[in-house]
Amino acid sequence: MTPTTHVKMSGISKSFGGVEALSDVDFEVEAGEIVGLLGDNGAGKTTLIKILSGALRPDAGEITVRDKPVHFRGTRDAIAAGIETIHQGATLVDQLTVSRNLFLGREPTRRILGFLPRLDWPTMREESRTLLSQMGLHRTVDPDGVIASLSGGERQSVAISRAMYFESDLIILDEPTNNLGLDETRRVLSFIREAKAAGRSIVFITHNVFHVFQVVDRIVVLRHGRNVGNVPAAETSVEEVERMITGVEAVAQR
Amino acid sequence: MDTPALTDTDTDSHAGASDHPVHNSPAPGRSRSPVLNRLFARREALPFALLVAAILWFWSDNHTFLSLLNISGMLAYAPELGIMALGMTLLLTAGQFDLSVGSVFSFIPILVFIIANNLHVALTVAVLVGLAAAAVIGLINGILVTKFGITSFLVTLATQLILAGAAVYVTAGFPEATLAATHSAIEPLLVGTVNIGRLELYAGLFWFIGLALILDYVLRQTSFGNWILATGGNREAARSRGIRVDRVTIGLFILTAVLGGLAGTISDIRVGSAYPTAGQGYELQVIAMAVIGGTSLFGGSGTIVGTLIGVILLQAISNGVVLVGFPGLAYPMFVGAIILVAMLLQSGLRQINIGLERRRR
Repeated sequence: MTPTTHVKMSGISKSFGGVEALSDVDFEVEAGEIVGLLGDNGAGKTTLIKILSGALRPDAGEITVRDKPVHFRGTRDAIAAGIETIHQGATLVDQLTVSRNLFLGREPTRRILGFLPRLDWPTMREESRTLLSQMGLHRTVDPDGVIASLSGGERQSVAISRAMYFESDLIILDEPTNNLGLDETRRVLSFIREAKAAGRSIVFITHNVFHVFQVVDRIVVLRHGRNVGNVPAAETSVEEVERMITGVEAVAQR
Repeated sequence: MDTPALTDTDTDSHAGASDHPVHNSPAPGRSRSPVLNRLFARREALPFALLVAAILWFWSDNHTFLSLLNISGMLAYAPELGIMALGMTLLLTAGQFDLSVGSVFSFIPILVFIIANNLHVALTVAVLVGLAAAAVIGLINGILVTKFGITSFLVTLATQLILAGAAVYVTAGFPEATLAATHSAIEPLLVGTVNIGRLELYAGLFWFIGLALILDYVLRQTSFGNWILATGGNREAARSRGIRVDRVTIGLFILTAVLGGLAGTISDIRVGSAYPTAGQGYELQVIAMAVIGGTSLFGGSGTIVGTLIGVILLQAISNGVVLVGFPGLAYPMFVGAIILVAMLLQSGLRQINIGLERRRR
C-alpha cells in the first residue's frame, strides 16, 4: 500500500482570549487510515477537530486536503471537501424522524406539478431502510420513527452510516463510544472497521484507550495543546499511551 | 394533514404511501396498538377536542353562537391574529419567539397611512413600503438574536417597547385615518368581502387560509421545513450538517414581522382607523394560539394545523364567553385556563405515550 496523505494540518495554533488551546500542532491522516486522537480533557482535541471540520478558524497554521491547501470558512466548506464530523450526541435531531435526520441538509427533492419542490419521500424512506438494514441493528428501526426512540448505539450507527452514505471520505468521530453499553460499543467499533474497509479515512477521538487499540492504525496524543505522541498502534502499549496522555513520566522521544 | 409516528415530526404518509403503496405497510417489529397510539400521538387531536367541547358548550348555552351573523363576526377578526400566529408557529418551531409582533401590528399600518395621507402616494406603494419596513424590523430582530447572541426574549421585548413607543409618539396618541384605503386598488385585496348567503367573509380569511396552506406545505414537505425543524430541535446538529441556521432564523423573524405588518394593515383598514395601541398584547395571544395547537415553546416541533385550531379555539372562547353571559373583559381568564388545561392534558398524554413506548421495548 502506498500511503497518500489525506489531510495534513501543520503548525496549527489557536487561542481563546489569552488562553492558548493549541500551539504549533501537527496532525496528519493518511488515506484509508484510522487515527486515534487522544488526550485528557482540555488537551485541545476538540479544538483541533473543530478547526478541521470548519467550525473554528486557526490563528496560525496550514491545512491541506489531498495536498491542496484549504481555508474552511464554515462547516459547509469542510463537508464539501468530504470531511464529516460526528460529535457526541450532537449530530442528530431528537425530534425528527430517522429519515429526516439521515438526509438533513441534503434532502432529495422532487418537483411536483413541474415547479413545486417537495421532499422526495419514497427515495428518503427507501434509502433509509436500506441504510438501517446495513447497520446490523438488533431490531428493525422504522425510518419514520423519531430519533428520540432509538438507543445510544442505534443513534451512533445512524450518524456514522449517514456520513458513509454521503461519501464523506474522512469521518471524524468525537467520542463515539461515550455512554454506550458494551454491545453497542462493539457495534460502533465494528462499524468503524467497515468504514475503513470501504476506503474511508477515520479520526477517532476518545479518552478510552482500550477502545482505541481495538481499531486504530495510529495514535496521536495531545497534551496542553501540544503534540506529545504520534505512534503506530502496533508499536505501542496502553500503558505507554496513558503515560503520554497524563504526562506523569517524561515522554519517550521518538 | 396526516402525521404518523410518536412525537410525530411528521412525514406525509398519505402522499408517500400513494406514490409507493409498498411503503404503506407498517415496518415489521412495530408492535404497538396503532389506533390508540396514533390518536394520542397526534398533537392536533387534543386542541381539536377542546375546540369541539368549547363550541358545544357555547352553542348549548346560547344558540346564536353558531348563527351566521356571529360566525361572520368571528371570521372577520380571527384571521388577523391568525396570520400572525402562522409566522409565530414557524419561528417557535425554529426555537425562537417574537414579542414584538403586537407592536409591529400597531406600528406598520400607522407608517403606511402616514405615508399615504401625507405624501399622497398610492396606497399600494405605501403598503409595500410598510411591509418592507416590517421586514427590516424582522431582520434587525434576527441579526441581534443570531449574530449578537442576545436571547430572543430580550431582543423582541426591546423592539416591542421601541415600536409601541414610536407608534404613540408619531401619532401623538391619536389614530391615523385609513380613509386613503377607500377606492384604492389594493383595498379589495385586503378588506374585500365575499357574501355566501348571509355569511360575509372578509379577504383576511382568504389570506389566512392561503398562508396556512403554503406554510403548512413548507414546514412538512420541503427541505426548508426540515431545516426549520432541525434548527429548533438541535441547533448545533443542524449547523454541523451545513445548514445555515442563522439564515433560517433570520428569515423566520422577517416572515413573522411581515405577517404582523400585513395583519395590522388588514385589521386597521377593516376597522377604519390605525390605533397606535391596536396590537397591544397580541403577541402573547398569538403565542398562546400556537402553543395550544401543539407547537413546542422550545423548538423542534410545530404544527400549522394545530395553530389553525388554536386560532379558532381562542376566537371561539373570546366570543363565546360573552354570549354565555360573562363580561367580555373576563376573556383573558378563560385563555389562561385553556392554556393550563391544554398543557396539563398534553403532559398527561405524554406520560401515557412514554408508558406505551416502554412496554413496547
